[in-house]
Amino acid sequence: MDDLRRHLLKRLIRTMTIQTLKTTLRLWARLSVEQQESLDFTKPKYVLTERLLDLCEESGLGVKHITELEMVYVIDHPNQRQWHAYELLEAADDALSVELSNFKEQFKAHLAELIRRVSIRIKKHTDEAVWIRIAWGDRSSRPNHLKPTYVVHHLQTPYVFITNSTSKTMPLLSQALVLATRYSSMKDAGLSGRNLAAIRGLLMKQFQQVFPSKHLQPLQGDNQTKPNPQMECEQDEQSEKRLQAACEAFGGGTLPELQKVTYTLETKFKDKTNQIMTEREQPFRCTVTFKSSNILESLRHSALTGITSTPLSPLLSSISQKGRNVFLITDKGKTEDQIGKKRGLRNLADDVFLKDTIEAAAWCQLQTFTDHVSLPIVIGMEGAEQQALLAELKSVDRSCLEESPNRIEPFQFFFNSKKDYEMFCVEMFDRRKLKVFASWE
Amino acid sequence: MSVLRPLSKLPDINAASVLLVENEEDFQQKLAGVMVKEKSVMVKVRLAKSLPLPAKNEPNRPRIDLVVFLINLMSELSLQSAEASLKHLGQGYFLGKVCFMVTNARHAALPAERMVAVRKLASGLRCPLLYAEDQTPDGVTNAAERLLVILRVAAGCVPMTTALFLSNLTSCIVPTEEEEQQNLDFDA
Amino acid sequence: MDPKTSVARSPFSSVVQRRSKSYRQSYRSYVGTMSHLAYTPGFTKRRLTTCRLAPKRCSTAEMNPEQRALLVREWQLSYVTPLYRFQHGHLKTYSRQLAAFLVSERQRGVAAEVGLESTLRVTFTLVAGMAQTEEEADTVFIKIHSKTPLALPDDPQKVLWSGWLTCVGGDPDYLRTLPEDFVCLPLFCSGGTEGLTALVKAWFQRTFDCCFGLLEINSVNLQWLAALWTDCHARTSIKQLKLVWSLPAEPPMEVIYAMHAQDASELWRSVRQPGLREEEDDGSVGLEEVACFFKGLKSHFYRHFRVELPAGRLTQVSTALGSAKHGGRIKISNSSYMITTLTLLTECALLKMPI
Repeated sequence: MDDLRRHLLKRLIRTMTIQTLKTTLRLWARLSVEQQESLDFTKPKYVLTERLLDLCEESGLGVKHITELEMVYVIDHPNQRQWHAYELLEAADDALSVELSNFKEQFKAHLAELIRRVSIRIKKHTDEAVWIRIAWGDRSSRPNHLKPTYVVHHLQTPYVFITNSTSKTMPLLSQALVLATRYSSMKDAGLSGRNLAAIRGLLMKQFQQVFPSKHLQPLQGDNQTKPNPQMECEQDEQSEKRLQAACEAFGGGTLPELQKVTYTLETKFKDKTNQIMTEREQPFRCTVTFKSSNILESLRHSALTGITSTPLSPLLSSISQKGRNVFLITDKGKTEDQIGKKRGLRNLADDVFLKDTIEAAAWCQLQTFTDHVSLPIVIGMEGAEQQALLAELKSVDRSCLEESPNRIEPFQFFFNSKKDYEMFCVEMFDRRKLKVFASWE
Repeated sequence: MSVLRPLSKLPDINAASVLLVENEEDFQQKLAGVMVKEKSVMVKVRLAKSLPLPAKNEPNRPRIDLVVFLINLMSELSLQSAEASLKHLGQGYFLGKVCFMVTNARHAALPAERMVAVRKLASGLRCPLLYAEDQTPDGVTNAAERLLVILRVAAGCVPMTTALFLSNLTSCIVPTEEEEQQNLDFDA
Repeated sequence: MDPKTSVARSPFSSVVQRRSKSYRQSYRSYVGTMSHLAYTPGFTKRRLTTCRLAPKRCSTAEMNPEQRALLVREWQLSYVTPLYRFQHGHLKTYSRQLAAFLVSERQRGVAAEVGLESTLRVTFTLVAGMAQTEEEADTVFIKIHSKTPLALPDDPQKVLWSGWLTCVGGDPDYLRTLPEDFVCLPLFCSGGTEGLTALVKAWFQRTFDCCFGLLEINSVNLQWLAALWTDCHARTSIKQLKLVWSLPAEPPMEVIYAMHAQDASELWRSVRQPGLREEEDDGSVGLEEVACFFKGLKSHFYRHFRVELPAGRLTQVSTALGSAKHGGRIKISNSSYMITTLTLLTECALLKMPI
C-alpha cells in the first residue's frame, strides 16, 4: 500500500514541473496551507517526494487521495496525453435529459456489472464537462492505478473523449457509456490529437471561423509602413484570392492544434503520360500522413504561399468541416464528391434544410433553456430515412407548407417556453439566417 | 496580354524598371527594398510570383527593362516555376534583358543535378547566371548592386553600351564534352 | 597534385570512349579545382552518374558473421579522405594504440561516457567479401568494448561503440591514381555516442593524416535508393515504400507517403522503358527512369491533395531493405542488396571528399 502510494507520487511528480506542482497542490486542497508552505520547492524532486509522503502520512492520505491529485493534474493539463474522440449514435428520447447524478449512478452501476474490480472517480469540471477516471483490475488483481483511462463527456452532446484505453477495456467502457447516456451505440469519430480543447472545438464547431474582409492586407505585404510607390506587386489579386480560399477552408483566427492527419487512399492511378498504370484495374494503395505541431496552421500557410494550389482540395478542407483527422478515400467516395459538385442549385436547397436543422440542433445542445426543448426527430435517423423525409418535404409546394404539418414535423423544434422559442428564433432566423422549423406550445 | 514584350512602350527619362520573378516571394522583397534606394537612376521594381502577368495592370505598367528570375536551388518547385514562366516572355528579352539569379548554391545538401540543370538553362538562353546570398543584409546589398549594374545598361543609362553587348560578356557558358576535350589537349 | 595531373588524361579519355549504356561513371575532375561548389569552365566538368547497375542479389548463405554485424543498427555516415600508411596487417597494433589513446583521453577528462573504472578493449577486424575489385581495400570493422572490473570473466562485454570503414564499388580508375602509400576507404559508418565517435575520428586523423566530414545524402541520391530498392521487389518483398518529405510551411510540415510495395513496384516497371522484355534488360537503370517514377508518384499525390511536393525536400526513404535519412543516417536491414546500397554510398563519399 505504501509502496504503491510512493510509486504513484514519484511518477506523478516526475512529470510535473515545480510550478505546476505548486498550483496542483493548491487545487487539490487536501493539504492545509501551513503544510503547503512548509514545502521547500527549491530542493530536488526526490526530496520533495519524501516530504510530501510524510505530509500524506500525517494527514492520513492514502492511494485514493493520490489518484485524486493525479486527476486534478490531468484536468488542469490535459495536453500531455493522446485523446481519441468517439461519437454516440442514435439517441433515445430521454438522452438529452440525462442529469449528472443520474449519469454517475448509471455509469458506475453498469461498469461494475461488466467488470468486477474497477475503481471509478467522477468529477464535474466548471465548463460542464464530466471527467471520469477509471483504473482497471480483473478477477485476479486489484485495479491498476498506474495505467488509468480518462474519459471526458459533455452531457447533452453526443461526443466522448477517451485517452489511454486498451482494446480489452474499450468494449466495456463503450457499453457502460452507451447505457448511462441512453444512446444506442458508440463509434470512432476518426479524430485524435494531444490538444483536448482543439479536438473538442473541432468536433463541436466551437472555434471561430473568422473570414477576412477585403481590406485585409495580403500576408507578404508591408502592413506597417506605407508601401513604396516605386515597388509594386503585380499579382496582388491572386495573393488575396489565395488568402480568401485559405481562410474559407480553415478559418482566419487561431486554429485548433492537431498534430497529424492520415489519409488512406485506395484510388486508381491516373496519369496521361503513363498508359500502363492508368489502365490498371486495381487501385493504387497508399497512406499519406501530414504531420506538424499545428497541422491546420501549416496547411493554411502553405495555401497562402502557393505550395498548396487553390482552390483547395476537398480532402484537405474536410478536416475542419467534418471534424476528423483519419480518412479513408476510395474511388467511389470521390465519385460521389464529384457528383455532389455537379448537382444543381435546386438540389443544394434540399440539403440546406437538413444541414441547417442539424446546425440548429447542435446549437441547442450547447444552450441552457429554461424549459424542455424537443429536437427534430430527423436528427437521430439513418441517412436513408433522412433522405426519404427530405424528399417528402421537397414534394410539398413551398407556399402551402402550413397545410401539411406531417411533412414538416420531423424537422421541427418544439419549445415549451416562449422565451426559449424567441431566443431560438433570434439566433437562427435573424443572426444565422438558417432555414429551420420551430414551434411553441 | 499573355506575352511580355520589351519594346512595346516608351521609356522614361532617367528611370529603369525591373521585374523580379520569384516563386517564394521572399528574396524579391529584400532586393526591391535595397534597389529602390538607388540615387543615380530612378528604379521602379515590379514583383511577381510567376508569369504571365495579369492583363489589367498593363496600362499602368512601365516598360520593363530587365527581367530577373530568382531561383532558390533548394526547392525544385522554384526551378520548375521559373521554367514555366519563361514561355510567357517575348523573344526580344533574350537579347540581354533577362538574367537568372540563384540562391543557396553553396548548400551542402544541394543535388548537383539541379545546379547543372540551371546552368544549362542559362547557357541555352545566353543569359547571365548570378549567384547570391540572401540571408544577410550584406549579401542582399551585393546582389542588388550587381543587378543594378546590368539594369542601368539594359535601361540605356550607360552610354556606348547596350544590353546585348554586356550579355555577350557575362552570359553563362557550359562547354560541351568535345570542347572540353580540346581544351585539355591544348593545355597538355 | 603533380602525380595526379600526369594521369589526368586517362580517366577522361577512357570515359569518353565508354559510351555504352552500362556502368558509366565518373567523378568531378581530379585535375585541379577540387571544390564541388565552384566551377571553372573548361577544366572542371562534373559528369553525373546517369546510369547505375540494377541491384544484384547476394545470397544470405554467403554472408559471414562480420557482415551480419553490419545489419544490426542505424549508422551515421561520414566521408574519409585516403588514409596514409594504413596497413591491413597491423590491425592488432592499431587496436592497442586506439585503446591507449582512449584511456589517456579519459584520464584527461575528455571521454566522459566511458566511466573511470571500466577497462577498454578495442578490436579491429577485417570484413571479407565486401570488396568488389582488386584495387579496393578490405572493409575494417572497429569495436570498442568495456567491462567493469567487478564483472565476472564470463560476462559478455558491453559494446560501447562500433564503426566501420569501407570502400565498395569505388571507381577503379580513381583508385589506381592514388599514390602507393594511400589506402582509400572513403565511407565511414559510426554507431554510438557522439563523444566516442569524435575521439575515434581524432585518433584516425592523428595517425593517418586524413580528414573526416559529414556525409549527407541529398535528395537525388535518396531517389536513387528508393528506385533501386523498389526494383528489388520482384525478387525480395520490400513490404512498403515509405517516403518522407519536409515542406517549408510555418510551422514546418512533414508529409509521409507510404505505398504498398506491389503497387510501387508495378509503377516502377511501367516506367522502365515500357515494352522492355526480360532478355533485353541489361540490368542498368537510368536517371530519367528514376525521375519519371517520382514524377508519377508526385502527380498521384497532387491529384488528390493539390500540394506541390517539389516545394519541399525528400528527407527519408525506407523499405524493408533498409532506410536512409537525409542527415546521413542509414540502416541496412536486409543482406541481399547490401552491396548495391553501399556502392551508391561509397560513390557519394568519393564525390563529397575534398580531394
